[in-house]
Amino acid sequence: MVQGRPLGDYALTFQIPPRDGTAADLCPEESDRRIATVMEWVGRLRNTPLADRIRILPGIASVSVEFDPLELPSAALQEFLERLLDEQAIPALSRKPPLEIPVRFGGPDGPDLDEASVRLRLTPNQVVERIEETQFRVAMIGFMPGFPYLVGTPSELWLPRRATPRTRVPAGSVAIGNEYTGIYPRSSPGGWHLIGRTDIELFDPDRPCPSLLHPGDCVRFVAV
Amino acid sequence: MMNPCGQVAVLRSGICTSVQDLGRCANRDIGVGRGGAMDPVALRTANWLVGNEDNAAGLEITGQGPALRFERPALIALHGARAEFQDESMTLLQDRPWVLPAGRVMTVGRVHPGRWTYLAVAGGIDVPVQLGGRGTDLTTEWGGFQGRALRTDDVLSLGMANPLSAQYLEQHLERPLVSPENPALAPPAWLAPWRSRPSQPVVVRLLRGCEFDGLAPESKKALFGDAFSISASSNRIGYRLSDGPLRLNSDREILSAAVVPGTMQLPPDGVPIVLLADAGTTGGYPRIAHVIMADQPRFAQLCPGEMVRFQEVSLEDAHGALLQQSMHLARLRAGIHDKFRQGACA
Repeated sequence: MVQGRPLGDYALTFQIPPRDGTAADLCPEESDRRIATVMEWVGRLRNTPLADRIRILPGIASVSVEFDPLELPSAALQEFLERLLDEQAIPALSRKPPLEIPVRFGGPDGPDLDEASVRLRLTPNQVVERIEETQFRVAMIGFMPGFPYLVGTPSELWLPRRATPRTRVPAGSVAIGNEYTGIYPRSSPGGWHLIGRTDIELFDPDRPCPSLLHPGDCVRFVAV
Repeated sequence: MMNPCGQVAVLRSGICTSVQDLGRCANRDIGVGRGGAMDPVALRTANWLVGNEDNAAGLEITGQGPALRFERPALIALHGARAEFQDESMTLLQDRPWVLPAGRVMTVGRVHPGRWTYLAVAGGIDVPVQLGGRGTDLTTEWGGFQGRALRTDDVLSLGMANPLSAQYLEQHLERPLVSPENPALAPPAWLAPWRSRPSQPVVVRLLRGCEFDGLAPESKKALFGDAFSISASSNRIGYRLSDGPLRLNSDREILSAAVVPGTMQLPPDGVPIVLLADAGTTGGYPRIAHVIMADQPRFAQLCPGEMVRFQEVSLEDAHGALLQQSMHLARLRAGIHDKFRQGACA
């Protein structure tokens, strides 16, 4: 049974029961399972009568719910949601046509590509090839509005984040960090390795759909 | 009936003056955090003092405040941290409404003690609503007034005041603010002065976080025993605490999971960070504790160098505190509203 826990006094968090205990998405099946579960849980939460009184915060392997504790009683809400968010009948992830994201790799647009390649014992071209060959999946949008955490990065490209984060990463930067690839929608501080840059607008508050990407979407990068 | 809609010219911007409301309540799943006022209680109260709804957008002021000229007669109030507050000829009191005649310049000087103070104007600051809010996200540069803090020569638009405020403004427009010769006769504040200087260290109540059990035993004791100080590395995203460091039993990060304002994270360097209004929606650092909602405004008002001590409470205690605060605020709001309806002489 899914167990909820308080996240402070105005939110609850529900962990997807792990298959293993470690922090890395070690295999694509586990990664897909988590994404599928998060998407299913978000769907169920959006369909409850409570939907307009809660805020839904999806994570990599959890979903949290923010609410007003003066309006909804915490214990009863937790119980209700635990029953709602069981693991039954989670539909498998569907294959979607990938969104193609044009990227200028390396040079001034990817200031970390050369150094990252050296640490990965690959040439910059090999790194770019691996990225282009990969079909990524959006696991989560978080950290800042519209920022996608993409899973599917080949393990030979996994690098711990930079020892010293940058105070300012240019908007549109494509970056790798640990097992994820990400894209910074706007300029922000950042600790991942910048390998390229795109002009695609990932977040626009005035669009009807402000975020370009959502969990479950498929993404491919195309060098331009 | 006077229509106090108009414009405000920014003659001097202040260190970091930004348009803020109570924040956004949707789109967490695409990474939109709450944002809004660092001290939502102070903003709400400032709004009540000019007859606005709770969520009207005001100006959040910190450090050194702005100089503003109101093109038309305006009903304003300043509430929150203490600050030097003047119109052209004299000192204005905080914690009550003032009617400024057209063309009058008001200034807010140094903000101290406390960190964030709020200027409310009847009708609210009129900036476009984006994703359900008027608050400014200063980090990712969207929302509010052009996604940034105010600059000299900016011009802000005001919204339409509600009828009660408009009536109050009209009634008081012809009265001089006070006699410039005798500012001691200034009419009293409408509410008790916002917390006098809190004794140090300030006590802030915490709930254990999901990853609290990962703390080393001596760090658990330290979290609820030691005094911490607010580091200079603190801003609208969150406040780092000096002292510590606190240690986890294992050096792990967590799979990125939700965080909310009030969450205390422990990064690998062992220096806790308490996330606040402009924090993102997810984080990969262990969440060791959470400042209870009722204490977040008080915590946010702490300045670099000020001391805080944390007290562990239960979820029931936290909700009890929130309920108590909510009832107090309801009484306050009703009292302010009564003064408005009475026309509140002087």
